[in-house]
Amino acid sequence: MSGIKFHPAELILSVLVLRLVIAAFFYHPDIKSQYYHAAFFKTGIINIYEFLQFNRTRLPYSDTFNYPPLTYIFLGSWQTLSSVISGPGLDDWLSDWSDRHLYNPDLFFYLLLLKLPYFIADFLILKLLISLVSPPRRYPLALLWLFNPVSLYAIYAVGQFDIIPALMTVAALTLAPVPAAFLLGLAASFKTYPLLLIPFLLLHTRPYPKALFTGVAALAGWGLPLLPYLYSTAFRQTVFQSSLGGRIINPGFVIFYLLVLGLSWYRRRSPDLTWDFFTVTLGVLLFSRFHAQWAVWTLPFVCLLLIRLPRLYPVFLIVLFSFFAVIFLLPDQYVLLGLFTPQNPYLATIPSLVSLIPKRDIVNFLIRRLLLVSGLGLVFSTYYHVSKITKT
Amino acid sequence: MYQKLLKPEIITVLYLLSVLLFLAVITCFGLRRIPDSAQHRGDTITSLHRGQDIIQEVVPRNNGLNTVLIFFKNPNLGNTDRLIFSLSLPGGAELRHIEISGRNIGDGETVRFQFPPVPDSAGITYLLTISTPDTSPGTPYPLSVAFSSVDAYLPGRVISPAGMTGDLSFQLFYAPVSRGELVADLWHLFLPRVLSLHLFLTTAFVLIFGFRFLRFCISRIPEDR
Repeated sequence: MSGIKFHPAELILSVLVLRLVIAAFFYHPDIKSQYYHAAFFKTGIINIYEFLQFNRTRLPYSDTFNYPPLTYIFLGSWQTLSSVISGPGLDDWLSDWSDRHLYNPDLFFYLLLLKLPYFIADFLILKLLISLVSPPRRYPLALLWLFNPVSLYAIYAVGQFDIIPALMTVAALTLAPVPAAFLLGLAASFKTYPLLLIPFLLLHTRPYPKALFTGVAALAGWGLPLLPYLYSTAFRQTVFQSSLGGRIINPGFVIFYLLVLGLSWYRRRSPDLTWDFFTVTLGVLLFSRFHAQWAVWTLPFVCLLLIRLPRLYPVFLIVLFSFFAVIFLLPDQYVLLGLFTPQNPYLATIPSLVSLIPKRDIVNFLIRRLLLVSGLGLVFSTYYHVSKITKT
Repeated sequence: MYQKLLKPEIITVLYLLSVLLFLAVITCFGLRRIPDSAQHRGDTITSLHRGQDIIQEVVPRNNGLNTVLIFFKNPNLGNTDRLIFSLSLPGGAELRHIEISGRNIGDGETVRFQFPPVPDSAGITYLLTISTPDTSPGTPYPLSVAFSSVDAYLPGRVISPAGMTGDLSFQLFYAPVSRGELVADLWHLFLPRVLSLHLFLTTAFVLIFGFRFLRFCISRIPEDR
């Protein structure tokens, strides 16, 4: 990378233009669904789970809200502010579940407005990542983070909020164990997966009695926002039975997780948890039927490791290719073609890509195996490197 | 060479061009049908059997009618009889005829009847007929379709079953005859939305605030490397 001039103004302008275009012109129904539920926050509804349990049959959109409460409060707060900025049109659009919602004259404006918080989280992650590497590696890291297709796809095109808990997990890397644990707990109140990272933090906490405080801090960060909801059956049913329990925890992942925990124990004297966080979050992609946005969980850690180990780029590219192949071959209109519907609403009528592929089961099987093998390759080659550092 | 490609502005242009190219390709070569008109309400269910055909009048808005979507229920996937779809003129001339088996119809499935485009279909009244001549009236597993309980489709009415006041739930599609007209149509939909004042102000805010914020975030990248 040496020899490339760093022009901050050109970098910033390119980054902003790219994000503005993708955020405004791409649409996935999930963002509408999440903000539709979040819009109830400004009407004073705090327990959205119970509200939906009793009222969703008479609402125009009858799905449940499956995320922990901080997500509802966060999205609800932003939706409240957005509806002040936009006027009543935003609420009307969020409540419009007819075919006409793609023809709304302010569609691009609404999409951009609703995705604005993700810009801030995205750039804050970059700031944290830069602080974790040596000066010569900072510019390549910035390019890698700002222009990688995964975050452009999952954060700006699909419009998922996973960048918020991801920011907290990266921030946890930069903090002392107790505040880091609290932050991971808090992140788990947005999406449950950071709970998987806490045992690694405990394992690496020195001296060991301090691990007790670390555990309490994690419990406090996770439990405090959940406390007012625990009595609610609707909350327990929708949140605790969703992603972490139902989709991530499976025999393959459990074995992998225990193996990683063992490897982490072996290098427990190292305070650096980048590899551990990277491996667990990547493991979720390797062993479960994942959603595209789950890749954002592992992305910051992948970037950190790749910048330290540039020889692993070819393996990373295979992981990246197989990740997108798995996603684009899902039988879901909105993983690819449907995202373009704000520009061309008729694209919703084209069948998903997978329906055009003969012997799709075999293709899917091969692509998933490629992801698994290349992902495990990335895990163990990076472990070889970090364990060498620990020994020296 | 590759170092030149790694310039931020080059990467940005490559991303945007590839997105634009993809959109152009799928719009020009991928689109086989475009929504025409529809009756989405389906609050009542009516079963099909020999002697009880469903006949609905429809009036497409565009030329090139080539697809009709109809919602079916087939509880326990129990019905495996022949299902006949036909499109005809009120005078009786059958224009299109499709036969499928109940085996291919799920419970709560929208079935697509696709046929060669009817060239001058705009504004003409057609009859959609669905029949199951092999299903006896007493069968425990009839196929059924959804209807609105009220007259929800003003251009046409139900001919059969007699006495039905609502309309069949259906969607019509047409084949884009001219790609140029299609692109012009999309451009007219796109342009006013891009020129919105709200979007302009939000973009300006993001550029101004984002510029300062991102400069703060990358302040630790050494200028001189």
